Amino acid sequence: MSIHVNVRVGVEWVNKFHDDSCKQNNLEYCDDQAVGFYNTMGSRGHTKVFNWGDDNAWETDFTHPNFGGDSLNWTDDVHFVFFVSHGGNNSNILSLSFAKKHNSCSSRSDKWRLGSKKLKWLVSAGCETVLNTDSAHIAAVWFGPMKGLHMMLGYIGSSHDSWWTDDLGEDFANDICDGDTIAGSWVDCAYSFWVDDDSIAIAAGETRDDAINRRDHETLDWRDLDVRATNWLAWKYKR
Amino acid sequence: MAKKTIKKIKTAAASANINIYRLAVPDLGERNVLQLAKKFSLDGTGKTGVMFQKKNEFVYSQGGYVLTLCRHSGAYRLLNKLSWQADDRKTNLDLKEGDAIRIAEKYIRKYGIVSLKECRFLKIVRLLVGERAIEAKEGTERVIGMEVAFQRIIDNVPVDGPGGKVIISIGQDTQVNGCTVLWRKIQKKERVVSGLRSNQSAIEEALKYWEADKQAVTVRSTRFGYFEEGWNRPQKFLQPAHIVFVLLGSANSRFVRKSVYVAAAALNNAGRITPLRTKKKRQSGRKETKPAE
Repeated sequence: MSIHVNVRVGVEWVNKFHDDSCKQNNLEYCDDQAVGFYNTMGSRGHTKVFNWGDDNAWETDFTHPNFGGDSLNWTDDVHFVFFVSHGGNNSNILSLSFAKKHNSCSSRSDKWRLGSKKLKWLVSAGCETVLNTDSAHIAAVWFGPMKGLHMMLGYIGSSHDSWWTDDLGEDFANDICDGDTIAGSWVDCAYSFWVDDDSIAIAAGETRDDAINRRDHETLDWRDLDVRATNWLAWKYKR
Repeated sequence: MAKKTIKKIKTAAASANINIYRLAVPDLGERNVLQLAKKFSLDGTGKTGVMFQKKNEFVYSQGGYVLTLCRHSGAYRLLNKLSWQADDRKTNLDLKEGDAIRIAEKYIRKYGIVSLKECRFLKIVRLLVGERAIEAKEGTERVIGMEVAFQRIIDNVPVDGPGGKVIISIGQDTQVNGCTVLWRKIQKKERVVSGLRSNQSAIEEALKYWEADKQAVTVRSTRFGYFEEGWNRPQKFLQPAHIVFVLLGSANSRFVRKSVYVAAAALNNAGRITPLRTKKKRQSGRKETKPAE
């Protein structure tokens, strides 16, 4: 089954952190995952809009203008964003870590309004999209930031940065461009039997049926089927 | 079965009869894919099914079944896409682990996928779905699938890494709806391992790998086994390895990620396993502009 819509794609990744207040352990394969996704989506006919790595990846690209960010011109001006760096979840807030300050060293999910303009799907391939699968925790982290976003894709707890997962972005892009469901493909591609990287996909919906339908069936072709209100979350994970 | 096998598994201390194996070049081509399809009772004549090629894979599709064969590893996967990951929105797959293992073993035997004597039960992974309303006090959750993984054993040593596994998927109707076989064929014994280095030296090698970053790296654990690569990677030799699991960061770090370093364990090894770090091209500086429409 092929895809009939064109998707605008943006990726951001951080391997090298500045040795200042933004300092985190350097990573090695974030570019491979993100750029692999970017180039594969491009090779399958989708529009490559931005690929920002290391110092070029900015906190403001995710943070909503209400909180001093510029998300509406970047992450929320494309349909699909793939982000890889460090991630940490504390007090039901996911923070993404950046190489240097562009306002701040990290972007916090309580300052996001994902999908308020164009964004439909967000991958956070670093750690701790959620810490566990307690529904109260999933709800506390994701009802607030999902403001039109169809689906949030990431990991339960931590994930690995290693050479044998460097093709994750490419594999995932190929699957969804073949017409596979977005949640199913992510949960399948990102899970690791070897080291227990536990993958999760969280879909939003106006109603229970809407959220479940998206979780179970949504493909890239659902780009323009808007989530009119995030009243429900439906998730799928492997563990 | 699992407990019995575990007792026999060798540790790094016992190096007798551990070998380095040369792996066979994967059997590729449309004929091989059709033969594989026949093995799983699909038509496999190319008349009722459709064969096509992707960058890294051969794919045969017949009805709801999709058989994918990887060019690099010879690994294959058969999925019934009509039932794999499917949810009837009510069933909670209530299958005891022992029953799931029996279903998986029966399937492996029925299609002669591998010899059960050459593997052991590794783990069961569940595919779950959940929902919750914004105003609700609690959510719901159900199991919609189980995957039973078996780990390859060679010379009584477990095969570690992303490869060396057979994974059987079970759907809500307790029927098998998929299998993944990441199990490279051995061409011949290349040589006997002359001796094994200590896992301490492997830990030191791992720490040296990250030394340039001058940052905290915490060793979580180590394991010993043959190392088999994942789906997309070519591999010439199957050799024993010390596998060092690390945390990039310290216990006090705000952000941490995990990683793995795999060090060849044999004194007469067949080359390094974890690739050398490569110098990556830097992007030019970003200007304060807006993306193009």
